Amino acid sequence: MGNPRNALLVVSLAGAIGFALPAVLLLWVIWQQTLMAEEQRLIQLSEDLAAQTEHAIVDARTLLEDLNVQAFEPCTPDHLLALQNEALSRIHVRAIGYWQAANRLCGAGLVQGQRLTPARASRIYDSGVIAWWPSAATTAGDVALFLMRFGNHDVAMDPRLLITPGQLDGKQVAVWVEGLQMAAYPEASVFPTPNELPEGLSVDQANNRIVSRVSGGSLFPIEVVAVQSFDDFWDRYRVLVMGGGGIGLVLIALWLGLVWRYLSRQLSLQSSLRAAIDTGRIHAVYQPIVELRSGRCVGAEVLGRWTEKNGTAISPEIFVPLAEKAGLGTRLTLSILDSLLRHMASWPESDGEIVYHLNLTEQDLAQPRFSRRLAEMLDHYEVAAERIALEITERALLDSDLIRQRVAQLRERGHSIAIDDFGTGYSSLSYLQKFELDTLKIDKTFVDSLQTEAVTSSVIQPIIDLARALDLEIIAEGIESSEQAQWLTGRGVERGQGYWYSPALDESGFKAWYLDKAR
Amino acid sequence: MKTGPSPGRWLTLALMILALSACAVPEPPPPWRPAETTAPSQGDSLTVITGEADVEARRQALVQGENAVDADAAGYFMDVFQARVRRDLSDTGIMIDYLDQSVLITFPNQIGFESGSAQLTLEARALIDRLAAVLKEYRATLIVVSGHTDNVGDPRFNLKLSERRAHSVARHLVGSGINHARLLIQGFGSERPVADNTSEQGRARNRRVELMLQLLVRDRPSQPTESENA
Repeated sequence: MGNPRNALLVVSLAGAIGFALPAVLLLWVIWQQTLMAEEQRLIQLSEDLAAQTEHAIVDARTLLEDLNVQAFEPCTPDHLLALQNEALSRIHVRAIGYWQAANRLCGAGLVQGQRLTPARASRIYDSGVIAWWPSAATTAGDVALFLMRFGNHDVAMDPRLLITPGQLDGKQVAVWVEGLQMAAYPEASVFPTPNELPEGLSVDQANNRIVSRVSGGSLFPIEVVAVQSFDDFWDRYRVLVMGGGGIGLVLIALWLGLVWRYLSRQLSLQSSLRAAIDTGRIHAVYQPIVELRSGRCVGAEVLGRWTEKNGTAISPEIFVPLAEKAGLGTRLTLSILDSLLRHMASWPESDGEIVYHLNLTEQDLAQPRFSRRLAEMLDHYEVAAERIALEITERALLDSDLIRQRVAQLRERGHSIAIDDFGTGYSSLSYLQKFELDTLKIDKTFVDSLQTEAVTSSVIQPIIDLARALDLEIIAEGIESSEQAQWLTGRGVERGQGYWYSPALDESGFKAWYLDKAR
Repeated sequence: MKTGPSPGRWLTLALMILALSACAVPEPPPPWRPAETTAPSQGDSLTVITGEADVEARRQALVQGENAVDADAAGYFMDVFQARVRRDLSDTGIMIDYLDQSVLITFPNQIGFESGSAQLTLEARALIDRLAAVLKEYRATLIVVSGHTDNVGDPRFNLKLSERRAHSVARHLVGSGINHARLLIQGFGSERPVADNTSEQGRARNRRVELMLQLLVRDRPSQPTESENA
């Protein structure tokens, strides 16, 4: 993330991908849901058609069986009447015939004058049932009939009537029985055969249509193939897909917009910070540290202050973590140090008793650069290391021999090392023994407790005892009242800082305050 | 094209009857002797043939008759005939082969006859009755009944026995109502084995009576035979 513009580009790209991925996922889910819904409809339709077909075939077989056992004298009026009644009571039955061998002796029904004797049967069952699926050979009066014969009777069915067009909702449907096409609507359409289709719904992109194959039938295999053009399918689901998809896309866009705004603000803040560091707009301010017993100023905590050109000040609570996150921690520290050193150079008469406490970020100790630059800069400004104390948070001291070595090195050069915000970091205090330290700064929260609770606070005393045991000096932070100052003085705490003495002051302010105190 | 029994065939029949009457029966007496004789009688008008030419002659005679089927209904006839046979005869133990324009029905001898006898068993009679019921409806067939034996024993005896067995079957069919004109009889002896005669199993398969049902297809154009009722 060297260049903010590049960073923005990366973020925008990530944003685009971040938009595209959920959008594609959403559309895919909606698409799948739509297909599943359609598949359910088709399964229902297909099962209905399969059941109708099966019922018609079973019914025809039962009818033939019954006619064979009824003891009519063939082709008598009674016999013909019975045939006629049976034919008329079944919508899909066009004719019933009485046969001897290959001769149709008589019959009833609507196939005019036809004696259909197709050359080859589609199926001859062991039961003696024989059937001819609809074909050119079974065509009478432009209708390809389904013929079934059992014994001396046969029945001719109009397979078109097995499919009720009203059911189909614009789809084209073919019904296959035992692997042979039985009925189709519209009749002229050519359908894919079931065994070239997967079970269920599939998209036939080549022909721009949606095809389904559903297996049904409980007594014999029936397959229903349904075809619908993609346009019909889309017409039905357009509102759903576009509505759902649109709402989803808007939500994704909104969410990403929010993320993008947050990120770009962070990034622009980051680039402003970088610019502020580069152009020296971050300068040092000073909070005096006094010797509690005498009230004498013995030092100051050096803090960064960022004032934009338009005069707005940005809180360190925002820009310090931001700098650390952006990898600018060391540059920030060095920039503050530079500001401090120039100030010190402009104030040569100040005696050596003022020790400036510089806050280090975690990154300062993690890399050798800070330590090297510190030495170079002190050299350049001819400032003794003893005058710069380094404040390190507990967090920065957590592990690694490397950091312990660096701290030891800095201390060797003459810097005094202070633990900042003591007691707020980690519970393990083992570092107090591992690291060579000089000063312990009691965090403001513990000092605050002196005001709210009994003056004999049991919280702060152990810290003082601990510091004593480790032979560390103590600086109390955030002293805001004389009572606190008195209590701490009474406990032998050497130094302190806080509003009770002074808030952080700019360069001239601090100088004035110091001179005033010293007077 | 011949339109009736040829003089040659009558001659053959006469010769065969002559031969039969001349031939003493060399087999041991069966466990019981039925009252009626198994020897072909001359009064049943059944024709014993000796070759394919005889079959062809009879076929030619019959295809012009009213029972033959029109060419455009031939396939239909075969299919519905097969369906009918499956329904009525598939549980009987007789073997049925459906060929293009014919059906071959094979009676294994263990169903039909006592050993060495041309006497039909009761089971065989019942069976032939059932077959006759089908054949009575499906009249567009010429039925060539042929008897076959294994190769054990005297070939001449076997030839005679096979012919007598074929005759028994044919005569029973006539008795069950099949027109004798549709029937031809031929004895093959052990001439046409369908299995290996060296094993008992094979020999059992070779002892059989076959009924070759040949479809009679009319070769003149068909005419509608029925006007629609209702």
